[in-house]
Amino acid sequence: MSELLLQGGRVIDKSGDRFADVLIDSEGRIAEIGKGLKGRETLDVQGKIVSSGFVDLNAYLGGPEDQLSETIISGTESAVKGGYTAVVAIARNSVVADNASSVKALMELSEEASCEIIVAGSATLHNDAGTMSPLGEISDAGVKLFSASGPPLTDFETTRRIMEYSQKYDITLLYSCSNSFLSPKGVMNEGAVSSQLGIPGIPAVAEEIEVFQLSQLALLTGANLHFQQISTAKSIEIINEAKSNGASITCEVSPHHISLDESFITSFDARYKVLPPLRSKQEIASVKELITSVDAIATGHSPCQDHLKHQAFADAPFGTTGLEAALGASIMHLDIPLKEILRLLSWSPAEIAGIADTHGGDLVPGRPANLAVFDPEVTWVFEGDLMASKCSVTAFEDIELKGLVSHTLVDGKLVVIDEVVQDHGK
Amino acid sequence: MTKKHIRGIDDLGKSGIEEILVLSDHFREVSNRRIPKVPALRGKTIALLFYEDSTRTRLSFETASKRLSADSLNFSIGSSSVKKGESLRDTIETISAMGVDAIVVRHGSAGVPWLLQRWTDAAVINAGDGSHEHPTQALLDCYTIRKQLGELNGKKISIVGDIKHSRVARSNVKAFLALGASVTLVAPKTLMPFNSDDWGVETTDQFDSVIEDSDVLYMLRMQLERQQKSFVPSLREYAKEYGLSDSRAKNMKPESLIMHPGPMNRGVEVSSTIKENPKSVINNQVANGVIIRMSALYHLLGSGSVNKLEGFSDE
Repeated sequence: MSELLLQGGRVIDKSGDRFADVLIDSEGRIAEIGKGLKGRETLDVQGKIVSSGFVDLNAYLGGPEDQLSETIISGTESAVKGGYTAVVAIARNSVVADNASSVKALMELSEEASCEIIVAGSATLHNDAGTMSPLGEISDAGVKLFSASGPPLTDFETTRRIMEYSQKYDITLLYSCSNSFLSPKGVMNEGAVSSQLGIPGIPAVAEEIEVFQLSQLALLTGANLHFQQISTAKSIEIINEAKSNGASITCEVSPHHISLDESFITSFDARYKVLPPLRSKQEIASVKELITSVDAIATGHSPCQDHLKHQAFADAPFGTTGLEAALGASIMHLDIPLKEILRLLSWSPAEIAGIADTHGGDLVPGRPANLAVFDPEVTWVFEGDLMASKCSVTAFEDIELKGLVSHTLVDGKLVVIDEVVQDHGK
Repeated sequence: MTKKHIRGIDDLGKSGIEEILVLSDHFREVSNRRIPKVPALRGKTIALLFYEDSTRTRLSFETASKRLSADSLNFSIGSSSVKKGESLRDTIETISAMGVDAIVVRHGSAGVPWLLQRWTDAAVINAGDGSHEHPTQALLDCYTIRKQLGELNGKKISIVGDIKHSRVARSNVKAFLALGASVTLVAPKTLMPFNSDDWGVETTDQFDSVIEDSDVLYMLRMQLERQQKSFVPSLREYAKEYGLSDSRAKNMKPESLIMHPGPMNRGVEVSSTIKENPKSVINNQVANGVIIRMSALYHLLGSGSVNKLEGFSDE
């Protein structure tokens, strides 16, 4: 790797915002940031933002048993194309990281990845949701985040014990609050639209009840919790109140939940079938008002084989891709300063994931060059067929976005150049 | 020319509904002929695609196709094709490739006719999609009411029962309102759709409060098969609170009608003798089913005047 100079950009990181050149040394580390620097190889980034790379807290990247939806290669190519330099991979279905050897196997897969992969463990056993997995053993393998959404929340005792036991290892428990206890058949937001379409709804209050229950348990036990894909304003208010009472809680919202509303479902197109469901316009507006108290934007990137989405709405699986749309959707739909958007995409999730020493943070000499370079002004229309993800059916199809990543650097290496993902040849 | 479909009542609007009701008088005449058949759609192919069992609606469409001299293809598709990895889109593209002019579809999930129309060049008729719409049922109900009461404009129609899970209710509300009737939905809150106040209707959970005032009591079938959990404590309690008993029927005003889309749960939403009540037009609804479906198919696929539909002589 030769010395690389990013010339003429506006550099934004956790504590700074200035026009400066960024020099990256042959080790892939930031050598210097300043005006009028010289380097052997130069990339002109005038008019662009140079930011610490994005960190996604919630993505599904396929796995050994599901190569058709996404693979580590396609998934991380999708990530870097979206400006991500690290992705938390959440296992689903049969690939469950509920013991140290599975975790290690998953970690080995990241050899093929275009960006850093953070493997999340599972806090319960795959075949027994009422039993805690060996948190200590898995945490010793280097896991800091544990998916804990498995057991239905009526099993409060297991939930509480996991929260208590987890604290010895200083890990964070991830909860997605989309239990179906109020709506076993629900597939979209409950409201005027579901009522008109005759589609079973999921009330917002189902999420809010779960968020309330878990945040009270967090207060009781002192555990670190992170709420995935929060989709209602009331949920954020409940979290804020628990935070102010001392709970160690963070939360994320997903790009599609702030940019797409339930009315898209009048087309009955299963690309809009996601969990939590797309909410009402009014709800989205209220969520946006509270966005500055949210801790991260996370995609919930959930690819599936295209043909599975060519089914009746009720029959198709939940989920949409999001890695390549997150920045554009955030700039387009959030009326907050760019730096605040970058907090949500980069340094705040890096802290939650426990990787703030290498991702996010401040761009200072000596740090690995994990960077996203993007034009915040360009508007473009999302087309699933042109994306790096294997899954081309996406909720963002034909949606106008603002802000496009042109280059991504992972450990100093240019993995995306002029919007094109490079062969990583690892 | 944009392709016409009957996916929901909104595809027709008031003028489309009127047109089909007028056509139906012509096809009623055809149905009364000694040979109740016309060559109006000769050479057309109609696929009947039923993902959900429905003997009545399927037979009614099949009979309508035959009386119009169209060829009908029957596809009964269980969930097996889904399990074999074939998507709905694959199935529709395959059937379209056979060269069909119209697809009549029934499916257990809302919205399927809207998806179909994107994947085929054929005209799409919705024969029931989940709890969403059942437009030809609404059309035959409008036709039945019009034949009995002259017009729908200004009439008070109460739809009683499991509104939440009813595609009949959703289509009928739209059609009745389009033709100028006022509609009251009657159901316990568990069976009333969320936000149904926005539909331009009145809602109540007091059945007895609407009986004397209604020109039509439209009794819905309790969709026992669509309910996962009990929405009412028991069918007995439901029958007591919301069933049209003979004594309730006595409180109806003269000239008013009792309707039901069938099949009836006797002793639940209606008493076992209600079909024989002089106010009942339930048999007329069934008889009008074929006529309306002939009109719907002709509306989409036919051409030329229907003022004189030449038939077949019977020598």
